[in-house]
Amino acid sequence: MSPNTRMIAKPSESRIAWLFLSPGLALFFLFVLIPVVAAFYLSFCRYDIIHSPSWIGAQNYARIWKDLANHGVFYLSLRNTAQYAVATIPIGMVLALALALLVNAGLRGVTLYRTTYYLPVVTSLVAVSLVWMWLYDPNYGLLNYGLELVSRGLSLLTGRQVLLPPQTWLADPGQAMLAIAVMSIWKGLGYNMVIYLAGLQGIPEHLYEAAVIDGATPWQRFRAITWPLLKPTTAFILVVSVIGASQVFGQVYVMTNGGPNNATTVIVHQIFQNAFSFMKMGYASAMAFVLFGLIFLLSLINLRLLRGGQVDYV
Amino acid sequence: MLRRLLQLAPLCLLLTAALAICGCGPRHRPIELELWIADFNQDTRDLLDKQLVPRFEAAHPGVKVNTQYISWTHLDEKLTISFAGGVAPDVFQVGAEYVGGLAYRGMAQPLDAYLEQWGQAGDYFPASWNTCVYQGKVYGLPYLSAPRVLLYRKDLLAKAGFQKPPDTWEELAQAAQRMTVKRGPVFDMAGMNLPVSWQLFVEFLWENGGQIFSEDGTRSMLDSPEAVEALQFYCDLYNKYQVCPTAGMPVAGGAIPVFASQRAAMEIMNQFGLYNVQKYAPELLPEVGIAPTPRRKQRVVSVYTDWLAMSPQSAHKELAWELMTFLMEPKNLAAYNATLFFIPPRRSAVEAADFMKRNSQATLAPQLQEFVSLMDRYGRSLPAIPEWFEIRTGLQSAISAAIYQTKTPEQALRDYSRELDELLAERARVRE
Amino acid sequence: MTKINRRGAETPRGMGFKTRNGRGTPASNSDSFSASPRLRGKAVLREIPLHLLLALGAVTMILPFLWMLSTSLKPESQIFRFPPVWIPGNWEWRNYRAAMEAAPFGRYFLNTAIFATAATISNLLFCSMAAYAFARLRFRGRDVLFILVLGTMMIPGQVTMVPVFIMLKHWPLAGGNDLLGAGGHGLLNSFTGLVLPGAVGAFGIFLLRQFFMTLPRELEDAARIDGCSEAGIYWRIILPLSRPALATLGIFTFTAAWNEFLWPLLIMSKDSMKTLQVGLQVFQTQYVTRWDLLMAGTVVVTIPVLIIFLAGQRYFTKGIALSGIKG
Repeated sequence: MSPNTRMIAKPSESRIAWLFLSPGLALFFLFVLIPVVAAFYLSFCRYDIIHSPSWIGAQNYARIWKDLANHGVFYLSLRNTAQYAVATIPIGMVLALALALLVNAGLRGVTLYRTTYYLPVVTSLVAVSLVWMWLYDPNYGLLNYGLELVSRGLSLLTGRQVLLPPQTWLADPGQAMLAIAVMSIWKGLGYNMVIYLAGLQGIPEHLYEAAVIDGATPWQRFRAITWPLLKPTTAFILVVSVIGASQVFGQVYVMTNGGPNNATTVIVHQIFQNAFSFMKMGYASAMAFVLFGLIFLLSLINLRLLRGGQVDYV
Repeated sequence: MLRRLLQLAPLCLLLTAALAICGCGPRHRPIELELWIADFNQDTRDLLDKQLVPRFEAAHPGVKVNTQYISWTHLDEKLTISFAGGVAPDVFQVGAEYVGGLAYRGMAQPLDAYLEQWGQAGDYFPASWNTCVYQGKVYGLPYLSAPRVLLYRKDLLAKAGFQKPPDTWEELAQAAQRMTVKRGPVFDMAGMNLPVSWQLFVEFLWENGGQIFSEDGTRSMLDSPEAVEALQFYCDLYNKYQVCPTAGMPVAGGAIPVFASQRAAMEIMNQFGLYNVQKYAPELLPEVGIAPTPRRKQRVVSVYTDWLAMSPQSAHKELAWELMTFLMEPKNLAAYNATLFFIPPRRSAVEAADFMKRNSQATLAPQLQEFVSLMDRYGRSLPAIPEWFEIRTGLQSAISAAIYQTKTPEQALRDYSRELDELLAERARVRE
Repeated sequence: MTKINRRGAETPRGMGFKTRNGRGTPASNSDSFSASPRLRGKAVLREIPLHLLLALGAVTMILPFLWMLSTSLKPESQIFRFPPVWIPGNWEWRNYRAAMEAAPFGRYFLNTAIFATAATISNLLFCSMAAYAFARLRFRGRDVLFILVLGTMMIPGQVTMVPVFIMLKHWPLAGGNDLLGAGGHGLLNSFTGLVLPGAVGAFGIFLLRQFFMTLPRELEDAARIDGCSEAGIYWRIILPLSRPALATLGIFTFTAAWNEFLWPLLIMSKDSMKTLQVGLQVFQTQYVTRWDLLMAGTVVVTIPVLIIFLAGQRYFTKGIALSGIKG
């Protein structure tokens, strides 16, 4: 019997369904859907928050288009967001998988490791951003201190004068986005690790046993069993990560506020600035929906790419 | 239309009544004024919460003042959303670039009617006062001022052969060059310690007789020869004369700023330069000289003032005005500025300020008085334009590009000038 | 031997969930499960390099927190030092006292606790109800509605804040408002206003719906045959079986609410209503940040959510496993 057929159909199922849905749906409708619709309407208006919005048609979107064509600041924010995504998503996922595999190897003290790696996730983004700003400080930060220690160590080892110069990190237009990306990987690692751990636990052990009996090496076991069976987990993490990376904001706001020289401004930062500092709420809303379109497209592509691979083992 | 929709939407909800009961507040409450302060530290909070506000409340029975301390980082969003929701604070503090935007959007109440009765407007320093004026109307009262002057080391200058502080740009470059000591690429003593800042560029621009905007504020004048010369000079200090490092000198251990730790001979700074010397190297104070920034065609001291505004949405405008004028009373204003080490923007407050008294024991006082007199004679504040927030970001990028030599000054200013023209033109379009 | 048979033989593809005698309890204990076969004897040797790697990683993870702790215990003079001082000269425990006294943190703690608890309970309740409808009940427009719900996750919250704010301010019959929502301040500066916008999250509906879909239908069908109503099924069968998923959502929601900064900042303008994260801002002024006090305050603020995580983390991995994201 297919798991999806119901043995008995209820006549008033629809009514009951709506009853179940109603409180959640009402709240959702009121506080999520209506504001989103309002924001969509505003994206076709000029709205400076104080006076009533006035309809201007697609002018906001035209302006975005022009900005993209001229490599303006919205274009920069798109580029920076893409850089951020490329820097954080692949590395983050690979590291998380590696960690999950390690932690899952049945060592003692799993709880301790799991907690340690998850600690950055439970801490507030604002607090973590402040601490990392500190770590990146060109004069007092641990990172430059670390560079100095490594320099000294290498000099001792090689007998030559090795100098890894201190970097300005967040003040350097070339390094700032990377610096923020590293911090973000650190913060999100535990979250993805835990999800991968869960995925690993769903893989039946007998498959590994059989593989060992057949003489498979660990790498072969990974390639033939672990990786394919983890595909749905990977898909989930990928989609969620893309959505998260496209909407990165908190750490940029606290650590660099888009600088230096627009090197770290991201899409949501532009939205926020335009809405609350420049009082161009209509333009900000238009940018938000352009972002939505992008994320939607990317998610579709993601799901398409990772579909298939329903692996079946006896 | 949209507002109506948002207002009526909740009516459809069954839970309205139940939730409304949860949200009800007490029916009878005293008149409440909301005051937002953005410049504060622990001392300021003690002053306001424990002294000034209770005094005001005592003098106005039935009135409560709710003081919110909101850091500058979050002031914009809080202000914006409060105005959007119609719950703006009665009196709030804003910064030097705000008057144009606030006035243009009707977020600040014109105070001319009140000022006539009050009659104390003339007591304020002109540069501070102008920060609150937009198109002839006054939208607030200045609360603290920070003039930028030239701080220099008298001893080092004398050794370099200058008896007086540099008066012109040429002299400034010369003096800085003579006082610079370098070891390869590393500065042991920087002739000048300068930040890469659009504010500094604007000061050079004014000294060169240039303007940022045209008279009517609709066009950019940043591509004028004066502007290019000013930016060229600014860049030269870094790249040609090489008297200051571009990336910023590392701060000494203990977070001692550069000038105070004796690694720069001069700096263009507001009164905090003095504060730093007093805090970290008080023995150096007698050697610190104050002078107006060198001129090219005219002498200018740029002044940045934070001020208090009143919301047009306030339901208690008379009371709000009384709160503002209370805070502006010379003694109260002086006390407030003392907690933060700012210059009080009105003369009688300067007179009343202990930390600035001419005959005071404090060694700082005579130097602070210099700040005041320079501010009085040559002070100038930013023109009031509604788009300052966008402008300063763009302008900063242009300046950085020129200083870090990714564009020539002329190119950088020409490109940005075009952007600025578009920005200003948009405002004209909206007016139609 | 028994363990392996149970898991491998009886679990259908893609489900980590198992029933035994109609009562659902996950069969595996996550701590003793291993992806690779256990080796006896060589176990210790094998484990050492893995331990080293993990430990190194763990130290890197923890380093910023150690720094936070270290800074919180330093006297102000030792904060700006190069080379950095790890162990402060004297341990300034009074930083903690000073931090907590700089603002009414006790009150903030209460506010944040109320906010986080209310958000968690409302999410657990309403999201599970909606997820049940999406997962199990058939009705017209179900899939379209679900896609809609998911789609809203892709809109950044910053553009919906202003409309929501206006809506809350004009809430009828609240905060001195009349029937048409004018005159007072509505639900601003209130817990209701703080909690309501986040009371039902798309993420929660998504997570729980995925999980419910993995539950075997045999139980429900059996219950229906016995005459149980849908509500009964929801309450007496689905929910108890969903403990891990609910615990997971609970931890996520609690953590998110506890650490939320922007919305509490915008909606509260009374000192007595602020939350902890907003309260920590008092240490950052324009020219000076009291790092020692700020770090002390941050440490204190992080502890409760850490406790919640430690308490619920048993369910955590199971919960995510069972949300059917694997298939």
